[in-house]
Amino acid sequence: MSINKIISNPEAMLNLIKQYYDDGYRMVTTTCIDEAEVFRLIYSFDKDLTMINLEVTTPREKTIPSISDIYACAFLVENEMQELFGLKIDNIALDLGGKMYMADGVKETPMAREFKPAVKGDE
Amino acid sequence: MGRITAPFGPQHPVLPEPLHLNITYEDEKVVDLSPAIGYVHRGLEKLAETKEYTQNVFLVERVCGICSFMHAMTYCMGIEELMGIEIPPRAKYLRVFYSEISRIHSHLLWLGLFADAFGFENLFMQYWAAREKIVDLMELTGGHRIILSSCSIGGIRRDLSTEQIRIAEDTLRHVKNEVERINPIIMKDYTVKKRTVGKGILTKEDALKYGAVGPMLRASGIAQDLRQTGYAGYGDMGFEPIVETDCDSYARGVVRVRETYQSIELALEALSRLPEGEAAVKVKGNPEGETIQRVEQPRGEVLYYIKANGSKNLERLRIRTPTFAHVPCLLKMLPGCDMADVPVIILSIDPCISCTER
Repeated sequence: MSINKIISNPEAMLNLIKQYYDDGYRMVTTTCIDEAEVFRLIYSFDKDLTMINLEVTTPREKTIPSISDIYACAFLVENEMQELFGLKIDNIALDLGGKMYMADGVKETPMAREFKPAVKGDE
Repeated sequence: MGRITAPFGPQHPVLPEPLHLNITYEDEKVVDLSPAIGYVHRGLEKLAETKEYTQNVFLVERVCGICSFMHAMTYCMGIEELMGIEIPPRAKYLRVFYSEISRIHSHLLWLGLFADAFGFENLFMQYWAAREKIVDLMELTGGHRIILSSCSIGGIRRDLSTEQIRIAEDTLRHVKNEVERINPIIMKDYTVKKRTVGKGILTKEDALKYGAVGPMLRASGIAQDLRQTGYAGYGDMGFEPIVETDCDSYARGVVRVRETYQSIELALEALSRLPEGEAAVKVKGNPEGETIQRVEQPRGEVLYYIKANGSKNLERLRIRTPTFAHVPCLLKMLPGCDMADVPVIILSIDPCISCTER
């Protein structure tokens, strides 16, 4: 696997992803990796079976822009990252409000590193 | 008449799995929808971080019953790349064989459900009777009907004997005869065409925009199948993807029908090409680094991201399954359609919610 581009500026990220869209790339997915202080996001795109991976690193508390205005399909994985990692994403085209997987009122982000699952018998 | 919003699922006669859509109708036309999944989420990606990398082979097999072999294979391919393992040639063709019988099993299962959705119950039983022969073959060769556990890091855990190969070839020819007999009944049927032709349109441009994969992508005229990349033994087999251009629910059915025949031929070819020798190599040490692997499952592309740090446990395992890619497509395919067509259009994506939620 190779990371084709590393980007830290959200605006540059959106411009680049828009360019991929215009060039006929299919969005494959986004992978979120919790690196303690930061979240590392790998955006994967495909054209004619060749994959491009774009890496973006963002501080935990910082909000990143949604790409669902460009790739409509991105809303689902963005909702997933928001719910499971606690990553903050702005303007998701269809924001499921934290109820994609989790029950009403649940605030935990189970894929985040600091998450500790409840032990049986705990109150 | 005003708008009403009604739930579709999570329990619905046409769906074997809990997909839930909140659909807004105006009169009998769909105008909007919003997915609400989460009924079978198991947190397998998190669980994978707590297991040893060798144990995860058995864990990822349980992401999905139907594609279990290919989940294990994709994961093993990733670990093999990280550890620099070259699997034996015999294992490559055995992986093709098991992948293709999994695809036959999946497509026959879907064709049966498709028939049942129209009320063709006898046809449903006939498809599943043919599928049963494949499941028997899995039991004969892998020791289990669904979760085979045949794939291992370094190759294939259980090699095939000469007798098993002979039975496998006979079974595949028998299944081919069966599906040749059954398929025309459904694919040439007036009612089936009336309910599927022109329904659930996903144009070539929308297929790319909404991230479609597998038979969905190929039924929209895009000749893309990861087997073209030549993983396992596909590189030597002159593989060409099946493509249809009508972009509707019927075209998606036709792709799966044609792929069933193609998979039978590929499985037979893989058996005929099996070289002598070992089916696996021994593996020592722990993986380190990160990789992305993609494989063509029956429903389309599956992606595995693996990050390892040289210990027995992985730092991150991420799985993007085909149905996860297809849920957004429904947002394009359903608006504008009649209420009565919703179940068949949803079924045309061959949804697997177990995969989607992991």
